[in-house]
Formats: sequence, C-alpha cells, structure tokens
Amino acid sequence: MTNFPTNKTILITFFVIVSWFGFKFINNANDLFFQLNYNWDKEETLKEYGNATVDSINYNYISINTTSKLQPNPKNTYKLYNDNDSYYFRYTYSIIKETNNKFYGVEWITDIPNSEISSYVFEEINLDLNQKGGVSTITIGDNYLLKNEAKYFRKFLAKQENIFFKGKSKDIFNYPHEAIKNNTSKKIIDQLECIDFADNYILFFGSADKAMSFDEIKKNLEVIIGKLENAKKIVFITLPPSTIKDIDDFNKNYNKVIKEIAEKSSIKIVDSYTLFKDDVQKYIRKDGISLSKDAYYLLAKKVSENLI
Amino acid sequence: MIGNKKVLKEKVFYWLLTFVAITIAFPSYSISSQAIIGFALFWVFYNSFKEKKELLQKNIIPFLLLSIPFWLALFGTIFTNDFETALKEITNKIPFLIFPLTLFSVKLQNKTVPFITKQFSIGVFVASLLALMKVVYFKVNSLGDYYYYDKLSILLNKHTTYFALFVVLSILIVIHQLIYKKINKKVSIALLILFVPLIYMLSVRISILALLVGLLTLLVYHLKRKYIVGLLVSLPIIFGSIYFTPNFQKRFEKSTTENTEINDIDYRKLHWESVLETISQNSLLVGNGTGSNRDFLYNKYKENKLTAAYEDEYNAHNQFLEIFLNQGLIGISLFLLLITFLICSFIKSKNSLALSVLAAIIIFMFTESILERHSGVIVFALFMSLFIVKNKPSPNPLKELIKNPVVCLFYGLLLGFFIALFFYNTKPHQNKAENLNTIEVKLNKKKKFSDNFENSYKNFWLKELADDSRDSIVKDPLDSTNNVLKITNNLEDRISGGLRSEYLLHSKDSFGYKTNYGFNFFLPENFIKKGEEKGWIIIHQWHDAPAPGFNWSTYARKTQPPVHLLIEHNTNGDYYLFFKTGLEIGDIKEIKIVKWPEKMISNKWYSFSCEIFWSLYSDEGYAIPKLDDKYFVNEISEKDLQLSHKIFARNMYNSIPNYFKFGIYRQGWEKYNRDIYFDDFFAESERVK
Repeated sequence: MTNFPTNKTILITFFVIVSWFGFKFINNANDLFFQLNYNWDKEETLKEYGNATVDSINYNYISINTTSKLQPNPKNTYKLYNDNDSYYFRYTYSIIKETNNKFYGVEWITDIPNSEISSYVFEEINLDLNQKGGVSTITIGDNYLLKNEAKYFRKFLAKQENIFFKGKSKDIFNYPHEAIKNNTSKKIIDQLECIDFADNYILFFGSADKAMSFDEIKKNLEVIIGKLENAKKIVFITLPPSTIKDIDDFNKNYNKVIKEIAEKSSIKIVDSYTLFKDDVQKYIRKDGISLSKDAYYLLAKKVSENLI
Repeated sequence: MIGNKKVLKEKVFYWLLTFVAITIAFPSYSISSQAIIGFALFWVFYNSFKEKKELLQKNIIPFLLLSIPFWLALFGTIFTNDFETALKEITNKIPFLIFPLTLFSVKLQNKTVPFITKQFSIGVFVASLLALMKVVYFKVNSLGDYYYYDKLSILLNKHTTYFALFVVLSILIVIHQLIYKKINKKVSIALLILFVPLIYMLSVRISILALLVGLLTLLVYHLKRKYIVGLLVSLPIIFGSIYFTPNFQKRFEKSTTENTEINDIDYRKLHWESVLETISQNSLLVGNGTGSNRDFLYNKYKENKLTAAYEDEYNAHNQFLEIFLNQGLIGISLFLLLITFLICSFIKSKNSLALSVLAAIIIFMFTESILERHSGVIVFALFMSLFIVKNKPSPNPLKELIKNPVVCLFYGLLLGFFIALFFYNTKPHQNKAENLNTIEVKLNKKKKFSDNFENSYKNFWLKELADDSRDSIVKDPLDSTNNVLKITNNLEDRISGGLRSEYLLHSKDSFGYKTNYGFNFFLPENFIKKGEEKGWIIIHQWHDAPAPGFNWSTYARKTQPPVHLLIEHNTNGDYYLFFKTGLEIGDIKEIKIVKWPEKMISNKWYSFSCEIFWSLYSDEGYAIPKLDDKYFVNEISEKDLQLSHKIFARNMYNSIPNYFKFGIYRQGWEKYNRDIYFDDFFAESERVK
C-alpha cells in the first residue's frame, strides 16, 4: 500500500493550480499584452484603400504600395489583412511618394506580418483605447513628452495609476495628450485656452525656452500655474541633466525657476535632474538630451507617487 | 491512532513532494519556490531527527556529492568581490542542499521515482496546455501569433530552453514508463501527442540533440541488439529531418554582431573564446569567485563585437565553463566528480531513465548554463537526488569510483581537457593582452596640437604657398602685444591646380576619432571687397585623401572636402559664412550646410571651434561647429534639431584620415589679392570608438 496522493487529490491540485494561474493571467493580461487594452469590438473602418503590396517591413517600419495616393493620419490606426491574418499598426511619421507609403516609428499592435507574404487589403481604422482609470489627467509639454522614448511615459503611468488621459493629440499607443513639438512656455499659455479641464495636469517642458530670458520664463510659468489653479494636482517635472554643458547649465537654471515658483504654490515637483544625474549613461540617451526608456519608467513611478 | 497520524503525515509529505514536481513547469518561479519551502518545512517534522541522522549518515557521500554546486557557490564567496550577488547565487543553489538533505534522510516508498517523475510529466503537459489555450485565444481573436519560440515563451512565462528541457525529460519519462507499463497507454499517447509538436514549436535546437541522445540511452537498455543497430541509424535520420524543418532553420538565421552577421557556430565560438580568455585571467585554482564582477568578460564580448552578449550581459552559456569561471579548477574538478559519480552510479544500477535524463541534461549544459536558473537547479537537484536515493546504497561509493581505472581515466581526461583549455588560452592571451594594452595606450592617448604663432609657427605645419612671402608672423592688427599668422593669397598663386595659400596639418584622425579644434581668424579690409562677381573663399577645410592604393591622378574622381568653412560673397559686397559637412562624389550628394546668421565684417576677430566625430556612416559621423562660442543656425532636419546642433553626416570617403587646412582657397576669376590672419590654433583628438 502506498500513501501517494490519490488521482482525485492530484486532479484537485491541478484544478487549483490551473485556476490560480488562469485567474492571475486574466488579472494581469492587460499589462502584459497591451493589445488587450484596445476596444476591438468597436473597431471602425474609416477608409478602405483596397489591395496593397508590402515591399519592406521590420519591427518599427513598413513600406506599402497602394493603388492610389494616401493621406495617412498618425492619430488613426492602420490594418493589413488577408484571408488568414490581420495586422494592426500605428506610426509616428510617414513619407508618401505617389503610391509608395513609408511609415516610420511603427508600433505593431498585435504582430508583425510575415515578410514572405506581401499581398494584403489595407484600411485606415479607428481603434479606441480602453482607459481603465477614473481620474482625468492631461500631460502638457514639449519634446520631452512627445518624442523618442516619451511614448512610454503615459503607458507606464497608466499601468501604475487609476487615471485616464485627455487631450487633442494621440500618441503611438493612442493615449491622448497635449504635448507639442518644440513647445515653449509662451505657446503653452495660449494652448491652455483650448485645453479641457482635468483633475490632474502633468507639465514637462522648458527645453525650447532657450531664446527667452529667465525673467520672461518665470512670468510665463506663473501665468501657466495660475491658469491651472482649479486642478486637483499639478505635477511639474524639472528638466533633466544633459551631457552637453550649455544645455545642462540652461536646464539647471530653468529648474531653479520652477522650484522658486513651486515654493509659492501647491504644485508638486518631480526633480528629474536629481533623479537622473547620478546615472546619466542609463537615463540620458546618446544624443545627450533625450531620455531613455528607463528614465521614463522612473519618471512615471515618481509622478505616480505624487498623484496619490 | 498513531498509525493514522503516520499515514496522514506520509500523505502530506508525498503530496508536497508531488506539488514540487508539478509546479516546476508552471509560469513564474514563486509557486515552485513556495512548494519547496513548504516541503522542506514539513520534512523537519516528518520523521525523528535520530532517524534523519542515521539515514543521512548512510548516504553521507552521495549527499555531499549531490550538494557540490551549493558548496561551490558558498566556497566562491571567499573570493567574491560582490558579496550581495554572491548571496543571491547561494540562495539560487539552495535546492542542491534541500533535496539531497530531505530525500536522503527519509525512507522513501519504492514507487516514489516513477510516481514523482510521472507527475512532473503531467505538470509539464498541463502547463503546456494552459499556454496553448492562451495561444489559441490570441490567434482566434487576431491578437497576435504566439505559436513559436520567443513568442511562445511569453505565454509559457518560462525561458524556452528550460521549457524544452522539461519537455525532453517528460518524453523520456513517458517512454520509459510505457516500456515498463507503468503508465496507461492512452494517457502516454495523449502526452506524447502534445510533447512532440511542442518541441517543434519551442524550436530549441539543442533539445533535438538532447532528445536523440536521451532516447538512444534509454532504448539501448531495452531493445535487442538487432534493433539497436536499426535504432542507431533511424533515430538520427528522423531527428535530422526535424532539425532541418523551416522553423528550426529559422532559428539558425545568422546572429548579428556589431558590424556584421555571422553564423551561429561562429557566434558560439566567439562567445566561448571570450569566456575562456576571461577564465585564463582568473586564478586557475579558485576562479573569479561566486557572483563576482564580470566586466572583463563583458568587455571581451564588446571587443569581439558580440552586441547582444555585452548589452544583455550573457553568462558563459556552457555549464562547465560557468563553473570554471566562478570557482576555477577546484570547482570544475568537483563538478566533474559529481557528473562522473552520477554516470557510474546509474550505469551500475542499470537505471536507464536516470542515465537518459542525465545525458539529456548534460547535452543542454553544453550550450546553456543550466544551473544558473531556478528551473534548471530544481530539475537537476530533485531528479538526481531521487534517482540516487533509490539506487542500492553502496558503503563507500567514492572509494569504488577511485578503484575503477576506467572511471579514473574518464575523469582524468575530462579534467585534463579543462586544464589544457586554461593553459591554451593563457599564453596567447597574455601576448594578446600586451598587444591590446599597447593599442589601448595608443588609443587613449590624446593627440594635441596648438600654436599661438607668438614668435614663429610650429614645425607640425606643412604649407601650400606660392613662396615664402605668402606667410608671416605679424602684429595683431587690434592688439600690438600679440603676434598672429598672416597668410596672403595673390591672384597668381596657383598651387596643385588651385588658387590657394594654405597651412596643412596631418593629425591622422581616422574613423572612430573625435576631434575638437578651433582657431581665431581676422578678415582685413582687403578681404571684404565690393564690386566683385559672386564668389566663394574656403578659409578652412578638412581635405579628403584618395582611396587606399590611389593618388589623385589615378583616383580620377571629383570630391568635395568633407568639412569646410566657406565665405560666400555677392555683388553687393555682402560676405556670409557657411559651414558645410558631408560627402559629395558622383551621385552621392550629402553635404549639409549651416549658415552664420550675420554678415561677416572686416577688422574683427572671429573665434571658430568645432567638434567632429569621424565616421564612414551617416548616422554616426557628426560635426558641431561654433562661431564665437555660439552654435550655427541649425534646423536642417528633424534629427539635427533633436540632437542639439550636431550635424550628422558621414565625413570620410575612405579609411585614410582627412587632413586639416586653413588659409585661402578660392575661385580663379577673383579680382583681388587677399590676406587673412589666424591665431590661437588648437586641436585635440582621441579615439573614442
């Protein structure tokens, strides 16, 4: 006679394990598989471009030949499909020459098409992102909230916080925002006139303010903070360190202005300069200015702590 | 009552052991670790300490041998330079202590091995099914294709190599139990139907070899001799055909190094060479120490351009080299002793399953440091402990090993091989290291040139002048206490086919060099003239050289200087400064231009400086020009803007270094003789890549 577990016990054990892992997977799937965050049930075709031939493809680029000239819009999502498979992508910018369409900074939502198959039907679609949070948040800024690895900032923040983003523009993952290329504090004052109300505002700008005097910058920042006075929380991210001395000096001085204003108001500061200065190699990209993915992860974490 | 309690205890004990085996293949490590902790805690109260002690004493040699990886990790902490990482390593190796200790100090029931191994296989089956269900869900809903290799591993939440190891071991277990009729045929077929395609989906190449060797080892024990020959022929053919299926071949695609693609075998070779060179730098006897800093190894990867290896800080990808690296000769000799002991014990006890499982694991160890991850440690420690504990105990297994000349020869050969590897790599490496050091000294040495033209000019200058009257050291027109260089270019000064008067410097900065340089220049009144046709004057340039093996007459191709500072003038007598960089040859027209926003005026000193990274590649080479410490207006492309005044452009036509020039070089139809003044020249360059 043996005292090994009976088949029934083994079955129950497996049932419990599988249920546990199944539950865990369902619970965490949206974080692990970003494609599950899109509202697939409400996929809406905006334009049908008919048959298309893919002539080059990789993880962040696709070149497609279509039968007519396209006018693509980076706010929308694009779909390639055939009888067996469907592939969805969003992109950062495109170069269109007659019927050849090159998409750069591509983010594949589901999968990358097989490079051996070139014939697809091509469509422009609307694919909304299901934002799970309840607290409205607007990110306002310049290149630091728009370009390169900045795309991960809202993605990381959405993972950590119970928030949903608002804004007129949409990033590569379809998160709305109010970041504009080379945005300045002066332009933001005007921009605020047509920005929606939100519970929280996250501000990250200054890199394009170099042509202004610090007195002018200070005045602009005061106006901006004044205009957002009804917000529940305002988090201002200071400018990060730079490996380029002139820029680093400017950023340090700019941060002093931000801190002076913060002392007089209730805004919260996330001091990216202090966060990144001890490991510039990890947090600042080779260009000496823009931030790495690790940097945005850390920033999202710190901003999240300040939004609680 | 006491009997019931004992039965209950046994039931819980075996359930916990089963739970450990089942959870090995499931996602993440936490549940498996918790299962081991639960099992170890229960063991404390399972039987009396007296019984534990007696049983352990009987099995003390196998216990010590099986726990060698743990003791080695502990031993390696003496020499470590990173105690924190060493502690993590020790924690990782604790199963090598727990399983031999717990299993050798209790009386296990006879069918424990078949029962636990079977549950392990079923665990692998259920974990695979769970992952495949997710795969199907994603596919059906057009959410992505997760069928193969790294994508499948996302849903398995396990490294594919380790899951492939689990599947290989499960196949061996199922076949063994099928032979011994310890498993229901239908169940075994169901298991195999999933496992075989799964091996294909996982696409781990070493798993094919491991399965082949494992199956041959297993079947050799159970088939008649005439079938064995057939098997030896047919199995490699079958497995070979799987190996050459498109999916596996896809995994054979060339690996990428920093600047080229190499085939997988060459990549492995380079990888292991890097490891061996690192080993030869360490102490032969004790190695680098557990968890020690591996910067030397990562630098070797970098040196050998193994991009992924240095970026992701790969381990040795070979268990034997991994131990040799960490614990030196002592480590590798003890580990080989453990392997030899296991092989001999299993051969002696004719335990075909144990031998085939060990063979498969050893094959995996050739290309993966199996015992560096939780999954590998548990599988090895649990299975080997179970197999050994159910062998007939030998009074002194170590003595038996030593007495056997075949075993001694086998062990000696293995050990000799590793010692030879060490010495083979040491000697040339030392030379290589010396060479590398010499190169590094050369590389890291900054080349500096400077000339303030105070009394004369430095002897590093070469000249392209019509005669001696075209250059002179004169008083600074704005400061009589300072001396400067004056260069004159008259309309008759045709040198090397051009109207020029220039100073030259061969600083020999080839690709990979960064050069920071600058000088002051002064345009006298006879430079800024009105009433002349539109024209240009190059006051500074980095001139290219013909491709290796050519001179300018044999090269016969027209090129533009890859870097030049040019003054353009119009008929109104307006003078503008342009900085141009990039290549122009044949159809290649890549010159990028930045313009100084203000007009140039006479009788004023301008201070020009620039940083250049020399490269043959457009995404790497750059220039950052400045005038009077201000950047030139620079919004040519989005990339330039984003990169803060760096003008990206390739700036070398070939590997021959460009050379520096300043002075006057202009069109032949100009109307006036011209002078220009220079002062405070400096240039610093160093190899940065």
